[in-house]
Amino acid sequence: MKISEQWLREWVNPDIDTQQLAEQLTMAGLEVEEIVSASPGFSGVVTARVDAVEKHPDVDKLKVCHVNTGSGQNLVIVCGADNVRVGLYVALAAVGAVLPGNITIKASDLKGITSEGMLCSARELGLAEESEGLMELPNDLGLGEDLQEILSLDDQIIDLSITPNRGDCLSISGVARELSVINDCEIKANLTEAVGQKNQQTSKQVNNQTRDVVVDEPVACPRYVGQVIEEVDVSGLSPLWLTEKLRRCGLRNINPVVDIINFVMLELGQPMHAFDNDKLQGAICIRYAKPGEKLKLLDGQECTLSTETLTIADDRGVLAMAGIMGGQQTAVTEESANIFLESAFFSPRTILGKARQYGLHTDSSHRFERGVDFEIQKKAIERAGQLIVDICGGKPGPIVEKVSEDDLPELKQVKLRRGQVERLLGITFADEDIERILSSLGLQLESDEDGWLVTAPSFRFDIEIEADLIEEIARIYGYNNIKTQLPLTHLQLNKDNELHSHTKKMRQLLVNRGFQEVITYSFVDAEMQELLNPGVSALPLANPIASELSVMRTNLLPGLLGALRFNQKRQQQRIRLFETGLIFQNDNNLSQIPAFAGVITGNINKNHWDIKDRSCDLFDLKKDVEALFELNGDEIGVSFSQVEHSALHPGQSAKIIYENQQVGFIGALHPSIQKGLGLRKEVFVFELELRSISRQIAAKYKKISKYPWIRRDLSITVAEEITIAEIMTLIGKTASDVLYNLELFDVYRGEAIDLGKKSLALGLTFQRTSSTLTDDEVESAVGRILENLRKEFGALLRE
Amino acid sequence: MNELTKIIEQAKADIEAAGNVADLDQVRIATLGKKGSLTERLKQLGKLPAEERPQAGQAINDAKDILQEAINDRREFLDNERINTRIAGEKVDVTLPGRGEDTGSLHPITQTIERIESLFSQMGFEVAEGPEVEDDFHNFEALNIPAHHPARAMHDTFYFDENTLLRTHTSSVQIRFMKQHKPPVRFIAPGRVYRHDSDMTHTPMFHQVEGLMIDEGINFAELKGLIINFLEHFFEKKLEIRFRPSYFPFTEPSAEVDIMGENGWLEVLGCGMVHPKVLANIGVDSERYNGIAFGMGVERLAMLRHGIDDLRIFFENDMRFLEQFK
Repeated sequence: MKISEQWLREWVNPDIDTQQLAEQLTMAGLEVEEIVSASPGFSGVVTARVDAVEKHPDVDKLKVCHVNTGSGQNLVIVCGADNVRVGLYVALAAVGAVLPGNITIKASDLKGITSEGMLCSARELGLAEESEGLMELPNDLGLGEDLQEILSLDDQIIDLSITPNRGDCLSISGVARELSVINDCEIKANLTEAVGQKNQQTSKQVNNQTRDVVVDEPVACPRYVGQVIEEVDVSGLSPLWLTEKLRRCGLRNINPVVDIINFVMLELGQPMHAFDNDKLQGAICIRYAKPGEKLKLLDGQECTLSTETLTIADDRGVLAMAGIMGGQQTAVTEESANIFLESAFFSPRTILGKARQYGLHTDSSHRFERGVDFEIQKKAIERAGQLIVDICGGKPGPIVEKVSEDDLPELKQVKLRRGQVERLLGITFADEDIERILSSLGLQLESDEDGWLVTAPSFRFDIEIEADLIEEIARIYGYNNIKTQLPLTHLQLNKDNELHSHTKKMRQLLVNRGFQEVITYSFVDAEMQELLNPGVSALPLANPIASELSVMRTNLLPGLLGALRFNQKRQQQRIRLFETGLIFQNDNNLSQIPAFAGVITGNINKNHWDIKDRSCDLFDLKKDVEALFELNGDEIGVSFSQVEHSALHPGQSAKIIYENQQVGFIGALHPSIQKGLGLRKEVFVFELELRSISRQIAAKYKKISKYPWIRRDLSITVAEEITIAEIMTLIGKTASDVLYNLELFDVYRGEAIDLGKKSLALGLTFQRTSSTLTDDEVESAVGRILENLRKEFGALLRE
Repeated sequence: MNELTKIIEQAKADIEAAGNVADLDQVRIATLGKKGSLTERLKQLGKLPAEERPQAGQAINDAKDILQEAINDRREFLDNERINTRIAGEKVDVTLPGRGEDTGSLHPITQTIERIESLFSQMGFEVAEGPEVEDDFHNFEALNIPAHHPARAMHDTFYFDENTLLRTHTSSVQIRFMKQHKPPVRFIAPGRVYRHDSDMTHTPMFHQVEGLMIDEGINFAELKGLIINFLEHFFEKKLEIRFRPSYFPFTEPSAEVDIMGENGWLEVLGCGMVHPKVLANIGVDSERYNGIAFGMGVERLAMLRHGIDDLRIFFENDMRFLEQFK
């Protein structure tokens, strides 16, 4: 909320500068977000009067004006505005004046006539976002006076961030109230004088016109105050002081009546509405919308109203959304002659969320949602009525008030126990300090044996429980004045969060192996996700931020491949990335699964002066995955078996099995997907499901043999379809008593090996912990191994 | 004796002439070996008259010692020479880069979270986690933010359906954690959160760390102590810190915490005493226990610590950015 410092100081004027004032507000919980000068940044612009207007000899649209600046010498100014006329008081930027945007005015030749400056519109002066014609100044001003001073532009606009609990501070008077408490100074009772009245002679006149008000929904609208004012003149302009105050608070001027009710809303916090009384028929009725009822709003939008929307209606139908926005049909315009003013209290519950439902958020709904002082309606309408009569003339009728006392909010009473203040804040207050702070805020205290019964004023909707009162005490005392101490507590150790600590180790391991961790959005492109994890149902967002971020990821590949592509486009040749985070699979029930995935592409090494490079392949990534499983300290380890995964290369993809359960996959990205994504080189990916693998088994010590080992190398040929894993498993089982280690050190195909076969070179290390092995024992074991390999797989020893 | 001298002189000359260990060995064998010239002379001692033998023997043994020493010296010299030659040939440019895998790095967000975790774990805070797809109850209702509460407007929420959403803050973990635990408790909950907002200073996904501590007698003064203690260790320096009143529906009193930066105050976290309604919602007796809660934006802390001026760069994952945080 933007407020003018000048305006605020009309209400309360402590002897502090702008910075101190801002600091005080911030430290009281009304955060000052920004302070900017109220001056749009012009200089040298003065008041002047148009004394003569002639037609330009050559250009129809232009006029040659003789402008009196009070200095005795008239300036010749060429002007194209329609409203320029003799006697008009204008803002003159003579040669040398500077307009916003640092534009310096120079004398210029306009079709043969030299213009010695420029007559300004409000927009050109930065005083309005849009304006028609010249800015018209009141004719009681002196000539040649600095417009900066006339408009008191030596002012600051303070932008406050008001939290939702402090609806009472959404007005100048509300902020002034806080400031007076902080500075212990008086609020000045006098409201801004309505200067520049047009029709003072009519202001005393009255009539007895009223319009009936029927409140069908007293719970939603416990108080409704209305007033008819006849014979107003809305065709004129709002006075400068009014439009300037509105501008500095972020509102544009519309017409004098609307400007005045906006002014009163800013001043007192009471949103109001003005209807064109001639467009109303019958009694005003406050009721919920009927099914299918429609309303064309002030902003031109046509809404079909829900039956939970409170409305202002007349005999013909709905006129306005109560507390949110009026209708176009009955709005006050320049032509309006008779108006009906509304000042009502709508309960927050009635208005909450309603504006949002129609995509609206108005100054009015903002205030009603948070709670408007329910005792201020009459004061506000009197204030607005007086200003309207002063500025637009008119004959005010009697104020009609419909109130349902039972439905008005109760003044809340909250018990405050003396001991609780210290218990919550950690500091002790004297009784009189508590009483002084709370009563300065307008709360009423009644003391009893262990504390006080506190009654909140009608403007405070946020005082509900004891803690709210304690916060008020702390707030006014100053959070920074509360001492600081370290917590005293009960110590205890915590159970290790295995998923968390194991994930941490896995991350570190891949970092040590040259991977970069990435963090990508959890929402991804629906089509890409389907391509990369076909058949798994993704959870779609109802309101995605962008169409390409419309579903929750079902695996980590879309994000990783996106990051890979991003880096490849930035000329990275060798990329190793991983990510960890939740994936969301929406089959039957939604599962949110912690996952860990990696991706590599490009050369296996960075360019190096002494390493012969090659492209990475599946087995490079496989070792990274195996290393991750080594963290588990588990003998059984992990196994891999061929699997079909339509995102992966059919010949280079495997499922990863741990403890008889599939826990992930590894493979080369399918060449057609690789091509589709524009990835230059083969890409290898893996993903693991973390819950099933996040464990560390305490390693079991195995005796180290004191006896020497014996190594035998075997070279066998076997059919291609027999996997290495099958062979290794069989060898392990056959000689489990004496085999200490088994390694595969060559796989060979080609010359001397039949087509469809492969030659494997195996290194077998034999050793026992209890005694030395004899050659015979080793030979016998090798014999058994060869025999089993032959029987099971038709494997033959190569001679 | 003349002959012995001759042998010694000759042998000495041979030793000096030996260009390598093998040649030197030849000289040794020729003089001191089983059939070497000096050995031969020892053998012939018997032929001398008895009274000459001791003196002659002594002379030969002296000669042997002299030669052995000369050989040893020469061997040492040759060894050194050989090593020196090798060294000369093995000189490398030690400024050539080393061989092997470079290490990668953790994402700066992860590093920041780990830093926060490690600091709070010193005070016995454990790490809790919760789902990111949440229900309205855990994200809002249970935290004293009923439907249509104006505070919801501060949370631009991603929805799946009326009741299911992406959590807008990690405060939702408070409720889930407390279902499983009884006070006293201390935990922090780091993680991803989501708001429907995207511009220069907002990303639709970002990270928070929520903290909760429930114990008897804990109070606002201690909340201040805890937060200041944390911030000064996180930033590794004394800071100018201020607490100012704010509003969160789930704490009362509530505070925003600012630190003084180069260009004025910077908001770094929100905190407060847990609202009695929230304590009731998590089954804690607010007459016996107090709670303190705090929540911080990880990106903001990472930006301040590392001098990063662009929020969006965190999620671009440009390797030239990531590699800077080893």
